[in-house]
Amino acid sequence: MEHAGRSRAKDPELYASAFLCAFAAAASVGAYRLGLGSVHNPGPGFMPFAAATLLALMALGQLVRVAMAPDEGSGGATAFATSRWGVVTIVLGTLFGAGFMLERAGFSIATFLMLVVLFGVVARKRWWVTLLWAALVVAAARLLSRALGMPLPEGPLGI
Amino acid sequence: MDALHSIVLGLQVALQPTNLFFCFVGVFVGTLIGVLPGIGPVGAMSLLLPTTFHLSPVGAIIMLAGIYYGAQYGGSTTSILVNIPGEASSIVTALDGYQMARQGRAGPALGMAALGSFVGGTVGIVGLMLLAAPLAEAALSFGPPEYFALMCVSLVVLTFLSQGSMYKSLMMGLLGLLLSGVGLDMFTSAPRFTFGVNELTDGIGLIPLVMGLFGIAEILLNLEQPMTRRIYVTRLGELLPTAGDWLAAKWPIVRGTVIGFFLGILPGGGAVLSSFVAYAVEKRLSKYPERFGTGVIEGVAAPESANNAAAQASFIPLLSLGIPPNVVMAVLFGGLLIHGITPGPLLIQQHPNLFWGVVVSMFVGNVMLLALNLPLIGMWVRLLRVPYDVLFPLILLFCVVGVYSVNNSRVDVYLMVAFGFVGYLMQKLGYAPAPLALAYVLGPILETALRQSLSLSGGSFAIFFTRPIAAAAMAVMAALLVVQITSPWRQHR
Repeated sequence: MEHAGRSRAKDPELYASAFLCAFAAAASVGAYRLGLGSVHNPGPGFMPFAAATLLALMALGQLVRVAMAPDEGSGGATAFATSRWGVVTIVLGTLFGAGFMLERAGFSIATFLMLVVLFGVVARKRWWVTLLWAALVVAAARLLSRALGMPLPEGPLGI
Repeated sequence: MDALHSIVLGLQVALQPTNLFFCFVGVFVGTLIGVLPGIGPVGAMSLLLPTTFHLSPVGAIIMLAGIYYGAQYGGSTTSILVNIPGEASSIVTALDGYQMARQGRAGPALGMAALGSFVGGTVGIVGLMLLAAPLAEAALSFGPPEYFALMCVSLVVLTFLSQGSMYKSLMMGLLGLLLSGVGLDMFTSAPRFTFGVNELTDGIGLIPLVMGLFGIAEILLNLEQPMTRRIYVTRLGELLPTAGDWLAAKWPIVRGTVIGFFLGILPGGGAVLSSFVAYAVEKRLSKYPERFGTGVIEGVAAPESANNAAAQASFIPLLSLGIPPNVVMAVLFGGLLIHGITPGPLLIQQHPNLFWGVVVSMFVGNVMLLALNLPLIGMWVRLLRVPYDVLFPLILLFCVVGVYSVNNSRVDVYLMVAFGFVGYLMQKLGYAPAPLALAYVLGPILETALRQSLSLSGGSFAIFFTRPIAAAAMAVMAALLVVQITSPWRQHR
């Protein structure tokens, strides 16, 4: 849906610039509070303050430039036209979940569940293919990690 | 130590069975990830970094280096046979390589890619041997102001050469510097931006950052595209280019090698840029530029020679100055630090076995790659038939395992996920991730050099403009910055 008088093509660019500007401004305040020190003895906040302030100013410049640019009805919005937000959410959520479960359930269970979601939901494999692949991959990864001496959490079941 | 002794030392180290094995593993994995779209050398090196903790530093660096230059070889296979570049540095190879494959000349294209890569890579190694030691000797006279100025100019050159908007690249460089400040301050040990999270006192890990920005983001982008592939198969007997092919390709190989070598040394240059420049130069010099893109052998020979020469040359600033010129070298920089070796001018003096062992192993690795990429091409082609919906869960599993096992920390997994999302958005909006990652690596060294310089000068910034090398670097940086910052307004007018 478009606003009256203009397309929403520039919106992603505007939001990105505004977010960067706000993020950098907040960081420069945080860096200032860390203590800038003096020029002959710079404090812990000196360098982050310089980087954050410069970034905030440049992001502001970008924001103004994008806002003032003629609206051509394309650009930012088309970049997200092919986005599959459902897939992005499931993949990132699954990875986050695997990280969360890794120490609680152990490597094998956490990664098995992760692979079940990725093969079954994202790749849309049949359920028995999904379970078979996930089990085989986890077993192979477990053997490989042991062979390489990588300490991975075993969880309450010891796997 | 004279040159002959150095090479003998290098041979003694590189030809040890264990180091030969690590060299083989490196070039094999490099070719593998070069062939498979979706995970680049940065991701693969980050993944394998934790597995090198138990290895000797020499073996670890030989393996990690092998992944990088091996990926340059492997990347051309998918470009030519499937029209999907396995690596960014092989994008231009696809233009003519794929057309050659469609005309039934996949064999000569693959053969020329491998042989051009071999020539470029070998000349690059010779250049590395000749240039790194004198450069390191000269760098011994550098102080903090020179280092600060050189790193500043590296970052600005990187943003200048990055794809997309220079202004946005510069912003990403600043964001990288800001993120590098997270953790304990190295002078006062005051916590900065840690928000009470213990895991952040050591800063944000390089591996989660790189894996997120490059690995996870790339997979999310790939999942948006249908992966339909038509593979043009070839027979071993058809791999050798004809006499006519050689005649047409000999000067493109020479020019590509020279271009690749010098662009590889430049910060931000590396394999990607050099392949594009080499292709553009050949097209400009050609008597028949209109045929480029329709399947000419020069369009394969030049970029493949260039990207391999650049891959070897990019080791020069890392090993002689301690300044990584691109993200791959930044990961290698991290690998050296983990093994207790500080890259810089003293590396060659203090660890001659590592330097010469790694350099000579590159010769060995190049020969291995020739064997892997010509007679075994059928194996890599079969690998291409593995569908992406089977590959991506495996790559994601390796990402989780690799990131977690660096510090046994789930916070690192969360950070990887967060940077994966940020990287996805950045790519969508045209913000290059490379300046962010490189600035992140250079940030702590840059800050140390700045604070030491200001302490030395009693707080005077004049120290950066009164010493010749620092002043020259600052002048270059200022000129590039003026061009970058004013470009949007100049374009607007």
